[in-house]
Amino acid sequence: MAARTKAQAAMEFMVTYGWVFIAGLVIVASLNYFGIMRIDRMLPDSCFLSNDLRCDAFNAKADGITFYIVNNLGFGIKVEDAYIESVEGTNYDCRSAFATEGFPDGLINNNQGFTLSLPADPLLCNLESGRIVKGDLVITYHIDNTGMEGPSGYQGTTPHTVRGPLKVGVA
Amino acid sequence: MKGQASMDFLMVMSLLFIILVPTVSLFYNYTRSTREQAAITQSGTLAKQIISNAEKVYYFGFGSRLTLELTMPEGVNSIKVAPHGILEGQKELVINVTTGDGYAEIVSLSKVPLETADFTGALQDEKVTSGYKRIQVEAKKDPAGLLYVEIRVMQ
Repeated sequence: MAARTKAQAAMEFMVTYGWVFIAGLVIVASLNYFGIMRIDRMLPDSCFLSNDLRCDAFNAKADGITFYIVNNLGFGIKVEDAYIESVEGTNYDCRSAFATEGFPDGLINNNQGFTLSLPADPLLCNLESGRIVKGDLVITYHIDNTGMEGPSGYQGTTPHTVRGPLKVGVA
Repeated sequence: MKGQASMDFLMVMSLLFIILVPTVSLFYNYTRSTREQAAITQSGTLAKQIISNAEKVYYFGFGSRLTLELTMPEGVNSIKVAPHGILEGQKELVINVTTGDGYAEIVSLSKVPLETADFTGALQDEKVTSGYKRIQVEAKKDPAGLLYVEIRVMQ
């Protein structure tokens, strides 16, 4: 009889609090699913292109996303295009007029860092505060080694694409 | 008692399931991104090794040959020399790597002209697979007598 009472007490405890716990988890999962609360916010912000074209710093504000990228490819490059592709939760790419600040012609020498800015676009690249931008940072360039060491004066004609995962929260 | 055991089992299993599904999804995405980063980094090293040895054989002179034993990372689609068509201009070695939503190109610039064995500008796709590979670089001459380096995947 004593064992039965004990079992009943344990069962009642489990049913009462177990379901509360499960309900809590279901609520958290639903909030995450509907985008009200994002669990992936817990993961740190990240930006990776390659070891040679390093994304050293980045931040996102309502007016745009800025990256500090260092060219350690071993040759000069001319940036032709830059955008964020396959932005999660949207059907479009975050593509706006990019700018290489300080290098208006997009020519970046070897071992040189540059600031790449992607201004917000209300239609394609909505950067409301608190939003997480998750997708691929894509940069297209061609080799331009004018006046550089190595194959000096070499100017490539083939465009190359470098791409890496990006996750950044808009401040 | 039996009823309680089944109920306990059900509850434990549901709990596990509810915790495991989001966790697995979170970690799957995280490891996928890490795997891609590793493949891109390894491909960069691979490209530099090929270029460095191609330059060596070119300066050793006609007939020089080196065989490199390398590990091709996962996700490599193709290895090409570019721009293709004019031998003297072929100085870019481009490794194309698949990433989650597309592809990335790892580019290395060579000081010497490069060519593939079949003169198509691309190494044979069927041999560009992940794992242990033997890549041969050899200094050759084109019909005009100009020296170039041929890159060939042996296995």
